[in-house]
Amino acid sequence: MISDLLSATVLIGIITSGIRLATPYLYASIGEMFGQRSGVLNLGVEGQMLLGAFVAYFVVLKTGNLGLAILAAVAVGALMGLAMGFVTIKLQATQGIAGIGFYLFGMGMSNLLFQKLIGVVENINGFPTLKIPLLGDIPVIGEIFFNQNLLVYLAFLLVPAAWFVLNKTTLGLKIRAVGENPAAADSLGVSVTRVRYFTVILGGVLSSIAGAALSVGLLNVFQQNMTAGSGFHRGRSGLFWQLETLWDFNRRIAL
Amino acid sequence: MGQNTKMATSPRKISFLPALDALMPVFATIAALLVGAVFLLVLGANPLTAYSALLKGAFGDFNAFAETLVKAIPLLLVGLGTCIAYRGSVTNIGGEGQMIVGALLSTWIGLNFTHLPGWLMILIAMIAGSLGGAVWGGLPGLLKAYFNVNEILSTVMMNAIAVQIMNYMLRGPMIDPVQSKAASQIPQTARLLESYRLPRLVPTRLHIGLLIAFLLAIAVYIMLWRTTVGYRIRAVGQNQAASKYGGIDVKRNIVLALLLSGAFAGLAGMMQVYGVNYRMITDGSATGFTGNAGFNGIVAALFGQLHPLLTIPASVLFGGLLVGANAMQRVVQVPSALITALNGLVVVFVVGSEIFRKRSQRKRMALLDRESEPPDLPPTDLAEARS
Repeated sequence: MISDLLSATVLIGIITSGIRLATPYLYASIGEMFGQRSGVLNLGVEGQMLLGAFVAYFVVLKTGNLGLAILAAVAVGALMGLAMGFVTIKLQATQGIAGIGFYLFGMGMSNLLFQKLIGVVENINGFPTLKIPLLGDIPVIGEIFFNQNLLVYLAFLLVPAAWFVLNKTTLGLKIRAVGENPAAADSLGVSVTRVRYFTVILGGVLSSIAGAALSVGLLNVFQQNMTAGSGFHRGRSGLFWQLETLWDFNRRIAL
Repeated sequence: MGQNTKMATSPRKISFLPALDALMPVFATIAALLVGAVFLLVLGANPLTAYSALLKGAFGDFNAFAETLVKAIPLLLVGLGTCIAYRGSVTNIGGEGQMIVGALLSTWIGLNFTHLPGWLMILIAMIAGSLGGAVWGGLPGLLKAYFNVNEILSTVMMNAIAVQIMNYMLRGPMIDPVQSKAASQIPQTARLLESYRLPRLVPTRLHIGLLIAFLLAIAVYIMLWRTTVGYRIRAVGQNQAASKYGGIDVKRNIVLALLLSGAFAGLAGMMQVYGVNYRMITDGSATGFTGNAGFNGIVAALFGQLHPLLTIPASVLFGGLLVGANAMQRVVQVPSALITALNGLVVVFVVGSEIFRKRSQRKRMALLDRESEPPDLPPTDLAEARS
């Protein structure tokens, strides 16, 4: 029994799905990292994810168009980010509490729209597995890393990209300066407001894509946050919560 | 005389009336309800019918109002904890986890000690519930005070830990013996003894927890503004450096604020078990047990401007929204999830409107300063002010 569990195929399967399951975390925590590095703590990530997950799922269900689904998720995420930015930057509201507000809003709104517009859980055709030629043929490694869907590849490409933007570009320097010492950044002519708007909107977009990665990239289904009893749901809500560890962890690594 | 002429020359002063500031949360709620009305229209429901169904469902008759009060109890208790924490300028958003741990501890005691008189057990359970919550709130407090860990993140993370402990306990060691044999395996404990349940006030589900929560609200008010303990917590909240200079142990008071805050949430969890369900039950998520009270309590406290006494009407209002949402769902077929979304909007609008209150407060202060510029204070007052 144990030896069965430790067989190569099972282990490869576990690692492959581990890579796939990491995708939503990656998108959301990279987005959150940008926010935190510029001094904005966004606790509304979960709400943004839920809305993004719903919108992407809905678009795929109605049109079958995956590109459109991601675009819709991006638009919703940008709007949520903009709202979060307006409240915390322009109106200077307490970030933690405003975040909880957006979390409740996203959770309620996605539930509401799901119940009103769809009602029953339906499977959709999400992002198909995309085998990368040559690399995908490498034994073990190819199966684990190069037999995934498009959103997984993009998520992993996003990591070095985010590192590059943050550490090697003027924009990244501005973001870090605003996060570490807003007054000093301001005195040197960096607009704290604009940088923070940018990072919060980027964070919203990435969180929303994270939700989409979950609903149309990973599970191919959307369920309400609070439906009682299904094991699948439990795993999912746990997934959302654990996100918070990850983003903090991520922040620590980045620092 | 001089004051009168000033009043006449600055009519703008009227807009800085403190009463208007106090109404800011009400305006924020009205704004949120208006946005909700737009949602309702888009969803094809008549907002007037929907909101009147909501109102009737929450406050329409005796039973409805009793149900609203039942929902208000945990909101008020969590809200009181929120008041204490925020007055000490620490943010506690771990109400959910603190409720769970408080409930777990008190339920465990209630199920394992079955030979005590009812009143004694209720008392012990209340203490156990508060203790559980206090530990769960105190740990992030210690981390904050001694290791400078952001308490917002640590309290949220403690929620996740509490949920997993709850799921383990309710599926494992504490599962109802009936359920452990049945195929359904619902994660719930056995029922508490009848003598251990919180007495009901009137022939509804309303229990004595309401009176306890009211008394505690008054107690928190007295503690915060009439005792040294509360003075220290508020002083640390307003200015840590000055408090330290004044000889107040800043670290201890940070821990204390979060600890007390957690204790109230833990008590709320205990009351859900001993007063409402008579057993601990979940669906595997935090919401399954708390019904989001750990978050909505924060909403209520914010709405009550973080004042313990104002939190009472605020939690009744939000309790009403939650109960009324179900009635609305029945009448206009709009899912009650709308209310969760609206609660979120209320939070956003309330914290977003804070700036206007602060701004007008600053203007008022500036105005006061200008008025007291000519030193027409009697010398005795000056001496008093200096001492």
